[in-house]
Amino acid sequence: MEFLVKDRSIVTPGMVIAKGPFKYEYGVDKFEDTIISSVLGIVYIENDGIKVVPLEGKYLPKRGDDVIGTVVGINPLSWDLDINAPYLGNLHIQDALRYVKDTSNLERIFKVGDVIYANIKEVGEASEIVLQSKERPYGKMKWGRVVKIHATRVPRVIGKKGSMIKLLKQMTKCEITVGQNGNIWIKGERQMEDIVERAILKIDKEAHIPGLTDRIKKILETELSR
Amino acid sequence: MEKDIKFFIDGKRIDGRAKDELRPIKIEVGVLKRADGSSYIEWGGNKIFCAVYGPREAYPRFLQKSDRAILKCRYNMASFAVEERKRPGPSRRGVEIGKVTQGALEPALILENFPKCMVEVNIEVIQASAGTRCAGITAASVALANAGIPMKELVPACAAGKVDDQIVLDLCKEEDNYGQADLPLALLPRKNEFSLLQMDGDLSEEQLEEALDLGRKGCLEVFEIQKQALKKKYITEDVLNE
Repeated sequence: MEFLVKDRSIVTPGMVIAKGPFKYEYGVDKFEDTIISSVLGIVYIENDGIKVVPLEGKYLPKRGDDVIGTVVGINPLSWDLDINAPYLGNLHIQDALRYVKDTSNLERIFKVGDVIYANIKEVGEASEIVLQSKERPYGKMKWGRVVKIHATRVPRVIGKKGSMIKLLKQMTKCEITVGQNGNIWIKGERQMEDIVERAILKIDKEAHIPGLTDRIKKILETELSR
Repeated sequence: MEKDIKFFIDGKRIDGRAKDELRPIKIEVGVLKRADGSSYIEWGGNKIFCAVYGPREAYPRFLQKSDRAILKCRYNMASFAVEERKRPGPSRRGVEIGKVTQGALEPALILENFPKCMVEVNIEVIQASAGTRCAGITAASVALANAGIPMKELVPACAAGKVDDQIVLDLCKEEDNYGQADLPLALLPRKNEFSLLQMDGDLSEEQLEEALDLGRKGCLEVFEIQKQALKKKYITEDVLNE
């Protein structure tokens, strides 16, 4: 039982992290009795458990995640949504609205290009993604804009116990909705939207460097005083 | 084919290197914004861009595998990459190198996580000067790591060869054109296995063994450069000072 890298250091694929019977979560591969990183990421070592949080990569859909997607296709009874994952998400009309009067023309409900906040109902065996947007916070996002970041950096935008997102909301008075897939929807005054967008892109770029919330706070203060 | 060239002057090679010395290598990561992962390599006179897209839905559809993703590699050389103009477009050589690149990279990837998907690797040679397939594989594996695709390990590649009946590492252009043999290698460092082994020219059994050992040593040197290049992008000071 020994660790070959430090906690919170950057590892490259194929790097040996530890030798011995450790528990491991994700981002690692087991090879005989050694534990090996399988992605470019940061190692977290906690109570005999090892995980590697990837720095790059596409969103991997999980059941129960809230995502923001764009309509890219319309089928007879469903919509195809681009949710930044390797596969398209499927939103069936039954799962989309509470009351459906007329199913003859789906384009009247959601058009191609509409932004939709949805919940992943199920991820099938062949990786087909079933979405739903029936209840209240879910549905079409009107106005506003969407900022795209890496899905692996979404936890940094939210911050510890929501500290970062609270900061952004309080200081700019914008409505912000974060999708687990890395799409972030912002609505507010135009200049405020610009500031939030810049801040979020900065978070995306510097996600792995400690002291992020303080840095963002400083930037917001200088930008708002202008 | 052979020409009157002195390959060794005072025990040094044409470009002043020792027998087991690589040309200078520089790798940059994340150079293309539109790609999911990208890299740029300068290896001696070679200048190569590599872009990785995916995993995304595989097209044409009949290529989809229901249990894993497929890997597609494309190698292309710009018409201005060589001394005499190369006819642009796909060629026999390009298709072959694309195929061997795929074979070299595939054993290092974990593609089972993405059924029905495809990972595309595009290698674009801007300037060529011997050993582009090795440089291409080296750059491609860095770009794959940059795209966040799960891998068992990085794949360094390097060539060995024979000039004047002596085994040398990483042939330069003159040695490649007028030398006796060229042996491109790609190594899986942890398994200590080769995933690419081609031979152009003649080598005896002992010479092959010697070339493989030398090539393995060269690959491990390249491997260190790959790791440093990937880490460099995330080192704190560099990002904050930008």
